[in-house]
Amino acid sequence: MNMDDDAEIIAAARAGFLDEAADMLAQFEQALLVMESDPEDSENLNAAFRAAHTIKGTAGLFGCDAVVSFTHEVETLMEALRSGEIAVSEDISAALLEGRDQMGALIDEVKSGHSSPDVAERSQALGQRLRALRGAGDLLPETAAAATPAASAAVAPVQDSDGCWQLSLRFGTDALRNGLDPLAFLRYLGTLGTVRHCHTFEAAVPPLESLDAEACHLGFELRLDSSRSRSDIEQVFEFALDDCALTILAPDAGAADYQALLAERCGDDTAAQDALRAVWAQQGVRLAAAPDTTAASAVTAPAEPGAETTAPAASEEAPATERRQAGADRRGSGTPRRAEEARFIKVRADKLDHLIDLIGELVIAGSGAQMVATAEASPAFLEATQRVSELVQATRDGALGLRMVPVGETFNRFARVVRDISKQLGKEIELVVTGGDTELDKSMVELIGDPLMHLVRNSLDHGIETPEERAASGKPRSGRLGLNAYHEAGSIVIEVSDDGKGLARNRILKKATERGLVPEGAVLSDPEIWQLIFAPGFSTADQVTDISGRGVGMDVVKRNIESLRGQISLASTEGRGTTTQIRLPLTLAMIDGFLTLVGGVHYVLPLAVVSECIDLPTECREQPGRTCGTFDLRGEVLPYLDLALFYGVPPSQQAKDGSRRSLVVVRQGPVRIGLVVDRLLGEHQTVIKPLASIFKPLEALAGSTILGSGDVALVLDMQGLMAAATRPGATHARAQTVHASTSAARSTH
Amino acid sequence: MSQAAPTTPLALDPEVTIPFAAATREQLLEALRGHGAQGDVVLDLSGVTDFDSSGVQLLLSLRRSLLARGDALHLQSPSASVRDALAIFGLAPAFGLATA
Repeated sequence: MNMDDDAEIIAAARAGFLDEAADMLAQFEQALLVMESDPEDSENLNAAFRAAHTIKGTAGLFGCDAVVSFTHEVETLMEALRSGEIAVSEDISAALLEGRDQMGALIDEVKSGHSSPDVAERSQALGQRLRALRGAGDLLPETAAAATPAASAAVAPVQDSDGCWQLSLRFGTDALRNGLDPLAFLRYLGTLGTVRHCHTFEAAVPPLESLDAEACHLGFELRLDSSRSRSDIEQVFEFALDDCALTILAPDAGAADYQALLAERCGDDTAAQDALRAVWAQQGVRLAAAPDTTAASAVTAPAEPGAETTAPAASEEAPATERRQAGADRRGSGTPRRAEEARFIKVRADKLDHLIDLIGELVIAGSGAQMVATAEASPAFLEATQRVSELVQATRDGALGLRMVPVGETFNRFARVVRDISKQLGKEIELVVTGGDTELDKSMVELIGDPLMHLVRNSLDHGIETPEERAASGKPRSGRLGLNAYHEAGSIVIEVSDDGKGLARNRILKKATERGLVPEGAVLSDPEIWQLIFAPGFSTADQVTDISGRGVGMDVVKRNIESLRGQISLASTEGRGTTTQIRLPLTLAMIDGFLTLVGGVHYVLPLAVVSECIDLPTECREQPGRTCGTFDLRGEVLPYLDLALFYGVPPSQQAKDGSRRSLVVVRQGPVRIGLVVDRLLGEHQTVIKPLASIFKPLEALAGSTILGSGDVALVLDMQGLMAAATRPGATHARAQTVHASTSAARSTH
Repeated sequence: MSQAAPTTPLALDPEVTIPFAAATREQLLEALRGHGAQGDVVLDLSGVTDFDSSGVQLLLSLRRSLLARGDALHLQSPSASVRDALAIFGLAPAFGLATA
């Protein structure tokens, strides 16, 4: 194996580490936020610990020392919390969240390869703070002090100890086979302090004639003189726990602890008990001669390794059991997590894209086959291609589904932002997430993050009032920020809403007039006023804060959304709140299409927007030269667009007398328009290929596609068509009428 | 108490570790059964470079068998890795080695 292979392998593994670290950081943050509201949730504390622990461990594999040493401080504090040694407090939560941020910064440094002295300094300072919190939050000394007077009555008093930890190790038979070397562990233990005594149980090793050389019969009793913490000592044996029974007794452990350990190691075997007591005596452990029988029966030592036994009096039973339970949880919760992880597979994005490309080709080829079947007029062939077509459709949906992720993952990231900013502004704000299961394309998830963040910050900063202001206007002190998502007709709709003070209609109008965006004295409907906010540089905020108000946001947000072929709109009630709605297409790659023929050219509409098809209405027939106008649909007046005239293609022969042409009613949200086409050609699975950039000036086109016949069809962009049909433009006859009819159409919904 | 002539030391291979544990045990069994299954066993450990828990266990096991029939185990010129391992396990005195 040459150097290049090694470097490649390490680079690939490192990429995996950075990915996993990002996941773990997100999990860690989630758990910390849950911890703030529910500090008693021990499973959550375990989850937080595990996340930090995993980051530290993997970072260690790659020699990322800065990450390891800082994360160690975080992990140690988490360990103290989950073992119940100290209690969660506001200071601790805040420090841990800052710790998570620092871990993120350190990992970013690993990614970029650059390290800055500021980051290192922060690691120092924050590390110290975490260490201080570790020591300051002791619960145990108080409860122990209260318990000791009672304890000393029931149990033999602790003899003056030599300040050493007692480690009792019994390695399992398969330890050596599983790659564990007790020697290595003990050698490492020696780096934490001084091993004053080590007793190896020779009698446990069988004679050579009956020895299985690969089985392990080694057990040890050690006295360790060390100033390190229990968790540091436990960590030495972290990877041995599956094959080793380990019990660690603190220097101040009492006789009852040793009694419990005696029972655990020797059961009822009095000879073994005597032998073990003799070993301890030889090592300098001083115990009362006869164990107190009531204490022995009061304590039921658990069989599983790693459980800590404390000085139990009858009154302390409950907390002691809880701590043992935390230990059990620690071991038990490992398994369900592994099962959960097995449900997912990591796949490279480009492999998935390639698959979707292939399926696109398959769709087109399937179309071609169907055309041949139709031409051959063979029923059997037709049936066969129909079946193939159905399967291709299902495969297409499945493949596209692979790229879909629940939007809830993105939503949940805002929990931290909401918490931090509301604290910073002194407001009480609750984040309510609904529709988190709604899925959207993975590539979009990354791109909507920023626009959503901007909207959320607007709500937090300008929308929701301070608790005092809210109380004064009769609202509950706590404001509500809502994130909602749902599917609708081939799109995903995302809403950011707040119950704050809403948009000041008149202020906006005034500002827009000042800037010349609207003529003086213009009368605008509410939706039109809200749209003004999206103009570049527009801001009615009195104070520009570092959060928002600079007026560089909303137009950028709108542009971002529109570049995803989406739409953004606002609705607001002064004094009650604001809702911003973002509408995005579910996919840009493949759609169920509706094929039409216009002037000899094929055009495809997304099937999802097609509302109905009707014969050409009289209004259209009466004015054949009009590109756009209005027509009556069962009492409603809707605008229409003649696609042939719009795209400047001569209408087909039949169009001359208007008898064969049709109108397709399409719908986008509440707005409906009609599109006049020559022929309706039915459903068609469409793979959208992007148009080359020279075609950009063409209006209302989302891309192109290839039909089964090999012909090229153009895919229509709904947004563009809607805009064209309802625009009061000079190129369209009777513009005023169109505009008025559009407003009339809107107001009827 | 040993009656036989002084035994020739059995030199152990450089690697007395878990992958070689079974083979090493065979070697030691031969020494144990040699000379009519009598007498002390002397092990020349000067050439041992790698010594792990399995090695220590083999020594303990051999010693136990020898003690059971009234003989002894002698470690000759134990290398640094052997000394180190026995010291960590607190077995130096048991094998007649000076504790460092």
